[in-house]
Amino acid sequence: MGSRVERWIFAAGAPERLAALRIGLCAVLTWRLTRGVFVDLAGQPAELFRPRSFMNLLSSQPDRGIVIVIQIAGIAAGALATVGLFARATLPVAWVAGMLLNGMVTSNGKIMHNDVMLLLCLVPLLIAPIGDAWSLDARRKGRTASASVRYGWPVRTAMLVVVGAYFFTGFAKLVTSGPAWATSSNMRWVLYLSSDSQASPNPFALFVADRAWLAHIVAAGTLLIELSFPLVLWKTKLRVPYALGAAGLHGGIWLAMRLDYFAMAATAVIVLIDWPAVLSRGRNARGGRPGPRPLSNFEPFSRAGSESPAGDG
Amino acid sequence: MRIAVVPEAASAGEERVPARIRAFVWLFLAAFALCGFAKIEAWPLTGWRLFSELRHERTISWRAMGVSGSGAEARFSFGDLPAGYHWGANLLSAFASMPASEQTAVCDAWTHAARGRGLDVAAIRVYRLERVVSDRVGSRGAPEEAATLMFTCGDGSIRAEASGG
Repeated sequence: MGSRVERWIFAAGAPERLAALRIGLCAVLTWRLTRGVFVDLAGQPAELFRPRSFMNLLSSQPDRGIVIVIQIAGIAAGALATVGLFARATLPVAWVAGMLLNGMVTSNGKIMHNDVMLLLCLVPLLIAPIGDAWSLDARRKGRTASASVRYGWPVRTAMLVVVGAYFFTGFAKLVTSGPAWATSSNMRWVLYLSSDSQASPNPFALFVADRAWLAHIVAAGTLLIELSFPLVLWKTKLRVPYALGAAGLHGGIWLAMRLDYFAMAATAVIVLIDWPAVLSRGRNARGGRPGPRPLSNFEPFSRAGSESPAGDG
Repeated sequence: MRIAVVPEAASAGEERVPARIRAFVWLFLAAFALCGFAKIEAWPLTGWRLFSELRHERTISWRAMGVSGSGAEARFSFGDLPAGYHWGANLLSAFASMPASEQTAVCDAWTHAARGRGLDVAAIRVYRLERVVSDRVGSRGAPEEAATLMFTCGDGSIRAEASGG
């Protein structure tokens, strides 16, 4: 099993798939870094600072001037990484800025998960050859990359993070609350409490909470999607439905509870869907020239390292 | 539709991911999985406890009330304070479990910020609320069944008004 996982993670991959991850994840990171919350927190007195993790190195939230500099540097670096200019240097700068600024947000008495999956999916890209395709770096150097083991592992590592994030979210529910998370009235109380805490009653939350049977279905469906997420490693055809399912889950949470998990939803969609294949299909369907090159990141977990005759999806 | 696949075995046989990168990936994934299974919080590594605890029909929540110089009580809204204070509800829910020195410091920060906004706040009272979530009045929850004054604080002092909670 271990060697099969090893073969799967470190198998060859297409540079375009890695490039799609770089473009998508860096674009989301850059957009998330433009939020005003970081400067807001910079003015917070030290008495309210509840540091988490590496933020314990600080005695209070950083000064406003420092935060603005980090934010500007992060946004600029993130934009450059998105277009692939000096990507191997600019992505780490943007990522460190994202860590520091989101570390501020999570140091307020409650752990914030909104941007965690995005930041973790970017970890493998920090040391990967992310500028070899679909980038200004590649154009500048006149370089054309072909499939290699250099490009496969960052994509699959990010995929494992996405799968793990959803699985562990369901796992924590099951371990902490057991099946009662779905079989009891838990979801109804969650939605009533959320609606009551909003400035005006939330019709989406109340629609579900007022119907016990619907609340049970929503709760069971949530738990089912989360716990079964690892299936996408074996069944590649499930990757698109699960990515869209995750996006739908977060969309529903936003509608009913006004909780912003956009970064998590976008990360799942960017990582799970084989965007070069989608583009290639689009071109083929329009009768244009075929996609940039063959694709290799579509293989399921069970075929790792084998010479599968065809991918699927 | 069939998608062409790179002949993996050939390319994988010729080149191999360097050992240092393999070690990095395995270490990263091991830390990620350990935190997930053991519910360890080492942000951004996390135990992914998102709404994992059961909510019950009877709930406990906390409310801060501002007390003016004349003794009048009004809802203390963190939204009226500068943006850096808007997360006050997180600290309020943990207020009862803080040591007295921490409670005093947090309370003073709130009262000073309120005064800085021109609000007449001589002290803050922290109430523990009990409500039954299923009790509804129209599209809103019914008022709380019981509100117990737990603490009065401000200007460097704190007084516990009730035990327990």
